[in-house]
Amino acid sequence: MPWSNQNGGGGGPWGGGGNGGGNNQGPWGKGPQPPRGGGNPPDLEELIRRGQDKLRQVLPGGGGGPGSGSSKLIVGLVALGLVGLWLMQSVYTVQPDERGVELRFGKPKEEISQPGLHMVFWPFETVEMATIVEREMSTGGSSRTGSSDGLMLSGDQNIVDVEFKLLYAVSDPAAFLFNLARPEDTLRQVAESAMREVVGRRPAQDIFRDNREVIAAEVQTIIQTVMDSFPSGIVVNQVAIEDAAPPREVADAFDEVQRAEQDEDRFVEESNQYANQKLGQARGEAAQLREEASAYKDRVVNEATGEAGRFLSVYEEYAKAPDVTRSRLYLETLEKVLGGSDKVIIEQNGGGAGVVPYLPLPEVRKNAGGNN
Amino acid sequence: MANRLPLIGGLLAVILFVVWSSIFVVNEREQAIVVRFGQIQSVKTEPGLYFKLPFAFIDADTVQYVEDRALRLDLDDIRVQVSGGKFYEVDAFVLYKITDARRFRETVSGDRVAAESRLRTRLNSALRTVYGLRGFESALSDERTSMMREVRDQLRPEAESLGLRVDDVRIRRTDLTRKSRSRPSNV
Repeated sequence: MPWSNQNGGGGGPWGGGGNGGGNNQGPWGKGPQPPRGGGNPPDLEELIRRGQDKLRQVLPGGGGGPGSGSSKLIVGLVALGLVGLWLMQSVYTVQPDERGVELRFGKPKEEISQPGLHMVFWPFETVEMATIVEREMSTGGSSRTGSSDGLMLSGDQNIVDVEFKLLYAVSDPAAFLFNLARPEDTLRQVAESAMREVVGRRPAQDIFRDNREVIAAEVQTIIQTVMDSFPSGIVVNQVAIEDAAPPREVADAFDEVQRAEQDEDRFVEESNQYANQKLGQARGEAAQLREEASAYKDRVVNEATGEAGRFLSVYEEYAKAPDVTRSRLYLETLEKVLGGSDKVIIEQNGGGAGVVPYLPLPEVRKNAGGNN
Repeated sequence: MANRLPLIGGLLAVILFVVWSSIFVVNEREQAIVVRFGQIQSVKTEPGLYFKLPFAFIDADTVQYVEDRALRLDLDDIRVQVSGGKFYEVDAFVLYKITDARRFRETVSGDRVAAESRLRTRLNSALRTVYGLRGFESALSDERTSMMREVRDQLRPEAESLGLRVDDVRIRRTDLTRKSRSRPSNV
């Protein structure tokens, strides 16, 4: 900007003018040369010629001919050069992926220059370009790059290495150019901060396994909110989490933890199975025992009831005729008792008394019983 | 006739110089403070072409430019203690803007470095306060948003006295200190 150093007097654009107007400056530089009161034209002409000599030294191949013709040529050339310079500054091209913002005295104009050829009235107007094509920025990935940018703490104080990409574009060129110093650097910082904030709210397993979409969406919202607060003219199109893993140094330990977790699950499962099996068996046995016991109970009770019934009926008979019943009972009992024994009862004063004792009567009876 | 040429030329040059040094341009990115004999004459916040007295060499209207864009101040890793006595390594940044150029010129003579150094000191202590009020776990996770807001609110009065407006304070890292890093806690 030629305007920024205007404190120091005429600079930038007029510097070129000084070259062309060398005739003007000549007299000032060489004060004593023209006689002050005299005022004679030949001296001036000589001065002009000297100026031309100087110019000729500066511009090799400048017109060699003497006289005013060559000087005109040189002046024309210089003028042409100046015009060329001016055109170079004034005409600009906007590439398809760019947008231009024209500024008049530092104040941006409303309309945005679309791709194509444009012109500004330099030096009163200048133009600034912004690339609007979508760009990509990646952060993290310490396993490959060795930087610690992506290392962050999760909600349960585990270190997570998150590698993510940011796709962003410039939606408002003027805002992008003028509202925020170092916009892309700031975008990176904001993105990292947002990711750390979101990751810090969750346990590590959430980040490793699932929820990546949710995390990415949350991060995108936060970044966009912050970037819109200036506004920065940047629109974040996507946040893509490429990788989220424990950092290299503790990856083994993490795997081990996971394996142990799986083992734990398996052991619990196995012991549950065993417990169920044992329990089933025991229940079965218990049921069986209970069944048996109740059967036994029924049997004993029935028996006892039957016995009691029988005794009662006997008692009723007895109560009707005690003597008869008593003697019947006596006889029945004796019959039962004596019937089972091998005792032989012999009348003492009967015949054959002498021989009988020698007969093995029980044997005979047994044989006789077998015969009958 | 001919001897007047240098005179005219000189006059022209002087006029040109005067005109040249009595105009100045304020860019969209900056604002300008016009100082006359050490007094702040006016502050131009809008971009455009402005006029001033041309005698810069005797302080009759010098122009000082300050940023009009949002700026970022980074605070690198500091060790902060949470209420349990444990430590975190924290870094944060502040997004701010120079809103009151006059005060900015008066307090820190328009020097961003000086302003940032004061802001940084304040940010440092605000962060320590805010972290010190919280336990190890909550400082890490769920309260981060409210912590950032608190730090911002603590920073605002100081910033305002410097002519700055704090737009946002964001905590970037909250990490364990180096020593305790290499152990995974139970998942």
